[in-house]
Amino acid sequence: MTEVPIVHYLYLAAVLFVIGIFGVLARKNAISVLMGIELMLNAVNINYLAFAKYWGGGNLTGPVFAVFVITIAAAEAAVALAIVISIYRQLKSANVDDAHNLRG
Amino acid sequence: MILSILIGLPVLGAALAALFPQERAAKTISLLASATTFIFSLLLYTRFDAADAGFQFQQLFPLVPRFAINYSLGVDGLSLWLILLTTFLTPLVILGSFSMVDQNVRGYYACLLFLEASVIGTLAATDLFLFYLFWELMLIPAFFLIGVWGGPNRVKGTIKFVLFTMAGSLLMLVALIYVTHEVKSFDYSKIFDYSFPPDVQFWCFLAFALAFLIKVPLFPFHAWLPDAYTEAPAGGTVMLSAVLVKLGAYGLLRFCIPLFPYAARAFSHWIMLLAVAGVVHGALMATLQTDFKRLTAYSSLSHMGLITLGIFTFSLPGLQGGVVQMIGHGVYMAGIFLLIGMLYQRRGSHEMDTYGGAAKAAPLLAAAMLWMVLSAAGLPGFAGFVGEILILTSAYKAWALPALVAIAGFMLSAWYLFNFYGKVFFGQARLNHEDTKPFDKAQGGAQGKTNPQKEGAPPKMPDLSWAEGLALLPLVLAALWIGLTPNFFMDPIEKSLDLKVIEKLKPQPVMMDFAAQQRRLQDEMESNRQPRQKNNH
Amino acid sequence: MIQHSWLIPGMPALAYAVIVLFTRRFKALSAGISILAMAACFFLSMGVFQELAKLDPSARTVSFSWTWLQIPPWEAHVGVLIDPLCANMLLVVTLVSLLVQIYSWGYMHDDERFSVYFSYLSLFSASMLLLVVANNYLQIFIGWELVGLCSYLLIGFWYFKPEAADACKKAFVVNRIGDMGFLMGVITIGMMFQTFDFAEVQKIVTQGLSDHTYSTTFIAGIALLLFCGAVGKSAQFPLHVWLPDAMEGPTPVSALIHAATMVAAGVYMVARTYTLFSADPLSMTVVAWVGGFTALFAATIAVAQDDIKRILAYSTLSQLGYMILSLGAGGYTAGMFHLTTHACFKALLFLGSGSVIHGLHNQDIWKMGGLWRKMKVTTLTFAVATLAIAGIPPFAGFFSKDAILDSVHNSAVPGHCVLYYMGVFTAFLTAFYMFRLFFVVFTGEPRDHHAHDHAHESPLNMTGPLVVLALLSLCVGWLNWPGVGLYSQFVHYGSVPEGAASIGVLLGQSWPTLLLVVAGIALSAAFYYWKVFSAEKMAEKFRPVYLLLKNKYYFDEMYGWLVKKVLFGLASIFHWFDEKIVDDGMVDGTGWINQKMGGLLSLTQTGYIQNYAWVIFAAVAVIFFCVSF
Repeated sequence: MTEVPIVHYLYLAAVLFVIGIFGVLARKNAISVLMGIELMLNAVNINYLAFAKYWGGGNLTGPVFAVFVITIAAAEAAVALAIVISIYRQLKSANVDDAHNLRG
Repeated sequence: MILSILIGLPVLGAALAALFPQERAAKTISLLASATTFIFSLLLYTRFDAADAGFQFQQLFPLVPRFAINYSLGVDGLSLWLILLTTFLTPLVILGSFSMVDQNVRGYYACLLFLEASVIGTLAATDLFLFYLFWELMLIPAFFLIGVWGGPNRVKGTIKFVLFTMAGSLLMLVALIYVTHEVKSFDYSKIFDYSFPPDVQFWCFLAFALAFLIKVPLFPFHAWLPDAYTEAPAGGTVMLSAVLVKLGAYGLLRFCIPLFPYAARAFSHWIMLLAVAGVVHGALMATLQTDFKRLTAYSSLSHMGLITLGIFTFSLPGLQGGVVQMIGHGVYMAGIFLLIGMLYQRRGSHEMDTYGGAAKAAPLLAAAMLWMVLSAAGLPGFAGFVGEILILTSAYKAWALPALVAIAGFMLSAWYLFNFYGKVFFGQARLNHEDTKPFDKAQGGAQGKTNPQKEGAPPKMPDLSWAEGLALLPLVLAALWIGLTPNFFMDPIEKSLDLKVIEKLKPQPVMMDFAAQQRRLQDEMESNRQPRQKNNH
Repeated sequence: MIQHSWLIPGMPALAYAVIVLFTRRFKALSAGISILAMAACFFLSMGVFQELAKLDPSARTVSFSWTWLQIPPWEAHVGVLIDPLCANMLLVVTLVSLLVQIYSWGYMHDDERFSVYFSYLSLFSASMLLLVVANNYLQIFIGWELVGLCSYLLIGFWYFKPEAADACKKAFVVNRIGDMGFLMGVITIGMMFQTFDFAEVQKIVTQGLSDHTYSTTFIAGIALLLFCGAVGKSAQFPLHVWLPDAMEGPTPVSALIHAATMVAAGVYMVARTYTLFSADPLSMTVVAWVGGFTALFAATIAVAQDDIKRILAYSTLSQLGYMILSLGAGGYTAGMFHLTTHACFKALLFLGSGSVIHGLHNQDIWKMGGLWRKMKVTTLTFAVATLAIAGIPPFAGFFSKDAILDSVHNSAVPGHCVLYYMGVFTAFLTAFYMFRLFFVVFTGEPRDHHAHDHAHESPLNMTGPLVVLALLSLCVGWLNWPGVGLYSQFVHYGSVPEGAASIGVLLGQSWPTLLLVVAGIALSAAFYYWKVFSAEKMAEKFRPVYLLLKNKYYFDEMYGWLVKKVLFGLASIFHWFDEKIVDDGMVDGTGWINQKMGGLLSLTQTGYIQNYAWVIFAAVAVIFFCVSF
């Protein structure tokens, strides 16, 4: 069976990464921003795993890194959601543009 | 050993003074501490060897061997009289301030003593790191002195003073780091043996000189002076004008000229011009003032310009004249500012219009003030004349035109000083209770107790008290002594001035192999390191 | 005796110290110490003079000094130079000081600061004598400044009077203006010739002029700088304004300082440094014209003054002008001779007026009159002095004034004829206003009967000096009796000047001046004694001229305006610079720049998270591209 070239995985990862960036930069809702961040992290995971399989030669460094990233993404999502809930309680809005008190 | 005592004793005194809660304890302790310091400093003079141009009373204690930073102290001709001036004036300032400060008294005397310690440290340091440390350390007590116990605009005055001085010092720090990096040592002896290439000298001179010329102050950098002097309490002003500004001149003599002679020569004409501009500017501004503390501040600026002029003539009479003028300036400015403080404590105002006829009410005070005013005006027989005549003659030799303009300052000083003296002491008492703005204690600083004023009666003007008289008497005698026997002050330091400043200015062999010098120093450093490395294994 | 001549300035200085430190509370003791010291000085001066006279004329210069300030190779000395000029001044200064001190004992008797007064007098004498015996330029400058100080203290002795306070400050400041030039000259000498010593400078200058190292103009320039000091100290035009105001001080002070000694210091200095002055006609011309102009100028003002001391002050200005004129015209001996005679009769005039003021407690001549009935001694001595100053033979003024006019007549100064006529006309005016003063105060009917009734003759310690000075005013002139010329032989510069061969010749030369003087007296008598003409009607007719003279040509107002405009204007420019450029520009400007930069940078802190995210991603992209390419 012909192998899928690594490039496909990399393209996939790149596209996911860009969609994630779009989500972070262009969405108004705080939760949407967080979703975009999750997308970026997962795109990076795909990259790690692709390189680990094709160029790793049995080395487990790639998958280990991916596990780390998943863990940290989970922790970060929890903390970020807690902050968003806190801000929502204060400002009654989940719009990132409304949280600009650190201006100046 | 003795130099560490001179630095440590005031610090100890400051700590003790701050410790005890009673005011009287603080006053007595600080007076004792400063008087003892003065007595110890007399030992400096008696054991000083005039024939030795190097550092005497040396003391060394390694601090950071890797960078060759040591706690090293030493005195030579350049710093001898300034240290003695500081230790001489501090007890007098403390004594004179007894009646002038009534809030946070312990802190006041602690600050004064701390200031004295850091000034002596700056003067006695023979390690560049230590010098810079004490230089910056001086600013802290000065900041508090002006900012807490000063006049109505004290915060503005003190911030201006500290920021200005610090700006210069930071530039000096940059140059200092470069210099010590080149020489690979912070020690004076190594630094003074090193020859800097001309282009390096240029920039380093500018950086160092900026710090010192701001301190002196030289004409365009004088903006901190009027506000700082006017707003500081009397004792603080004395320390500022009589002690701190001399450090600027000391820095010029110690670092700028011997280390960077090529640059010094190149800039000397500019600095002489600015110095003369300062003389004239200070004199003219003084003629406009109605506030006599500000007037004296500008007068101080004018005289310091003269000192700078003398230093940059690069001749022995000019340098000697500068040093004598420094000592004399310290003495008579201390006297005038102390007396101004006493006047303020009696009337609550610095405006000349609120005085008049004070000589009738307080003849001793008037006589003391006249003595000091005559010194400041450069009358022969008093402290100011010797310095002026030496500086003017050597300045004339160096460059005729500025010297002639500086003579105008000599004439104007008579104008504004006698104007001030006449308005305050002669004529009739001018104070009408309705005419003056009452001394607003809420608005003013923590200084000064005013005499309780009965409605409609001018405040009383008592004559000098015992403490005040005792504080002024040494100054009066010193002013006369400097004027009559100037050689007493000039002889011990002649050798040092000659070898440390003037010799350095002589044309050096032009083609110096700077690379070879660097290689030599590198080898020295490595050979110093190797024994330790051997010990580790 | 000459080796001990350093005691001459020393003893009054010691007296000052003793009085200030110890005997302030004991009036009589203070006066005694001061007078004793002065008497000792006088006798010492006599001894010095005697010893000097015994020496051979060519060897009449003795000098010795001590080093005061030493920075090798630079040295400053304090020393003594005794030569005929100095001996002459010593006698004048010590004698007049002694007489004035004895007089003051009576005049200041009721003053509460009696001891302080005498201490100041001693200090003044010490400083003046220091100046007189000086053997180098620096010392003469030191003495110069010190007498200025004493003048300040003594004019402002009654400091609670605002006029006195202003006057003493004015005196000191105006003197300082002259001292600026003086100091410039002294410094130039020190730098150019590497020495301050009179004798050495004289040698170097004569040498330098003969082998053309120095041009005569350069030497004349130095001389003119030194002359600035003389203009200030001797109150020549345009620095004359302080002398009339100085009359606010006690009258003996006016007699001593502002008539006989301190103001003569300028003349003395010019005589001392005559080598420099006579090098080039330029300096001589300037000196002569300044002197001549001052003489005439002051005399015209004196005609319209009403205060007895002011008239005498302007008279002093005028006579000093004569002395300076004489020196400028080459009449060295004549000028110094006039200094000597003037000291005698001017001191007498002032002390006499003091006697009048003491008796009447008033200084306005129009409140006086007919005093000869009440104060016989004062009147008589005053008359002697007035005759002397007018220049009537055989009184002293005649010989000295005539010598001056003679030297002007024969001088080489351009325009000396004009100067001569100015001098003669001034003599006429002098006679006129001095006799105006005499007639109004002493003759006729008293104008203020109340004061007149209380007037009384002064005590002996005041009239004694008056009599002594009157005798001197009569006899001192005979020192230069034509044909004998004792004075000329003693005090001269270069060769001994030729005077008239006999008294007859002298009268023959000077009869025009004498005639004018007598005419002046007669005119004055016509106005004020016989009252043929009316002075008031004259004043009304020529009112603008009268006002001009009375207000001293408005010079005080002009100087006040000048000071306000020029000095304060200049100072305002510096103030503007200080405030706008340094304070606002540099200091506040630095703060402003900091604030503005901070403001700019804070624009990047928008507070929007997504903006920050954009920046982060953009930066990462840029770095990525930079690193990989």
